[in-house]
Amino acid sequence: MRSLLRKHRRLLLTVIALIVFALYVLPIYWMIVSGFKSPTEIYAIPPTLWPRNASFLEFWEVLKSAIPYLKSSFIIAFFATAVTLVLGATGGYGLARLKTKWTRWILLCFLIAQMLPNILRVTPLFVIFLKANLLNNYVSVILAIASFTVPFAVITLRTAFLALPTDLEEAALIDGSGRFRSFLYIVLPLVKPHLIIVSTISLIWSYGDFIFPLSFLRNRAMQPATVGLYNFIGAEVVHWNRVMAFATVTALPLMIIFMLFQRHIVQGLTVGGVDK
Amino acid sequence: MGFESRNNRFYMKMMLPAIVFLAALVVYPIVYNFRLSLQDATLRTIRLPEMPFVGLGNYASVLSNPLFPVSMARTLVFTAGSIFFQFVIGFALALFLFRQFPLNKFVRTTIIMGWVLAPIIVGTVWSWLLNTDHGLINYLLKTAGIIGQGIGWLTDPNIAMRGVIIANVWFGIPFNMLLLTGGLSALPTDVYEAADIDGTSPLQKFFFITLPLMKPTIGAVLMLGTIYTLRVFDLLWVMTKGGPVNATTTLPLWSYQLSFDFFNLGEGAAASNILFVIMIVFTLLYIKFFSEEGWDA
Repeated sequence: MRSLLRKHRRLLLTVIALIVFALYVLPIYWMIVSGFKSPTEIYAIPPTLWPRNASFLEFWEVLKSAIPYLKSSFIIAFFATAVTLVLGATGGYGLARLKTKWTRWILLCFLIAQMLPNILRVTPLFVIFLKANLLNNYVSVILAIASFTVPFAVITLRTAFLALPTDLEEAALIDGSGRFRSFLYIVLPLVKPHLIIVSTISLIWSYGDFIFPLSFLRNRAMQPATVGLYNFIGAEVVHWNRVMAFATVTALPLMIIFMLFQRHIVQGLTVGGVDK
Repeated sequence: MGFESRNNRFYMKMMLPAIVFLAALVVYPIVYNFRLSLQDATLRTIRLPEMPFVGLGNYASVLSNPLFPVSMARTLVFTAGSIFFQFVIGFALALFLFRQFPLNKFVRTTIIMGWVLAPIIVGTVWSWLLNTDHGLINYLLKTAGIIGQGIGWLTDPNIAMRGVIIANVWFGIPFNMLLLTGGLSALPTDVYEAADIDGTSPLQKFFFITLPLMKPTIGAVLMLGTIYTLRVFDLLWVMTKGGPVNATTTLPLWSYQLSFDFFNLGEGAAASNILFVIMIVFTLLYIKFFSEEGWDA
């Protein structure tokens, strides 16, 4: 038995690996396939593994209704990530280079900010934005999302800047180029991989954020796809095929980001030690 | 004015935008939340220039609300259940996929996709998988003869907590696995080579070499897991909204319901501050003992 096990070890490992693989692929597969089933087939028993007559028309309908939501998602994700990159790069650089007794306290503030729950900020920000007349305005959601992506970016990029030797910047200064110019043209390109990591994770988080747009954007025309999906479940509770089609459409941009930047995502998670 | 201090002035200018942002969107809202928790902030008063102060009244009503002990218990069960399973399974997978065999990298990459999908999507898909009458899970269990009738994963108050934990574990495994894989790759290989020469069994190797060496990583993963599970909102909100009959109302959900369903923002703020106190303890412990930033204050 033991020798048999040893002999077939690779085979056994591969079989277990395939089961694990199925546990992660099956729910995603089921989402996509369910999205293409007809309203009757979705409730068929036994369930069909592959749609017998895929209802592309219905999927297309759902896709069309999802487009305004996706547009909002892209606007929110793009601007939140832009804010995150600018503040993360400048803040992370300053924090890496600044040598005062305050530096570590500022770092501690960013570390704590990164871990605080959004539920803690949603109530006060709601009142603050209400008083500032910023509800039903993308600005409120973008700022609220950046309140957890910026601390992540500052901490991650600080680590990247710390690893850079300072003589390059000093050489540039002696050359007579301005400090900010040398930061922009000499220092920043050196941390390009980290900038990609920060952008990728920030895009994933801001695209997937739910609680802030749910609370601040009551105007349906402005709601992102996550809130759209949530509304859709309420409205279409008996039409799981349409709900799954909407979920598939919402997940698609995330899957594309994942396929393009999986290496960076893995690095971002392990380097920063961050989850969401 | 030395070179150093002129340098510092530039670095401070660079940091200023991020610090102003942090003050405005993190520190100020937290302070504002404390103030709000001492005020009567409801639909009736919210538009007033100054909402009336009620002292600790909101805390009194939150603490005396029968839902407070319920939500604390739900938070504990949800956090403990999620952490236990996602850690054990995540660790098993990390060890397993650490071995060299065909497909191991491919499988690891696929699992990480579970983390990339937003919690709201994961929650929606699992709601469908766990659907009582038409869900795939109940169908498979029935076909295998394990159950006769469909389980009300999300509709039975006695079982709903298990349903949401399953979904959250699925979402949490990739992260646990990834961090633990990182810890495993940092282990020294010579210890294992020596153990091989001594003829140590794989089980002994795990308990006497891997576990002790992995202690810092394990501590960090458990601590981070606790912090991130305590604050789960999206997944629960889309799957059950805290129901049925408050079976899955954790502290974050209850706070949100107080603020946005009952529009009692003062009580919602008070409830979230209780969560804040719990989380800050874990956060400071994590930063003190496990943070890679090498904090030693």
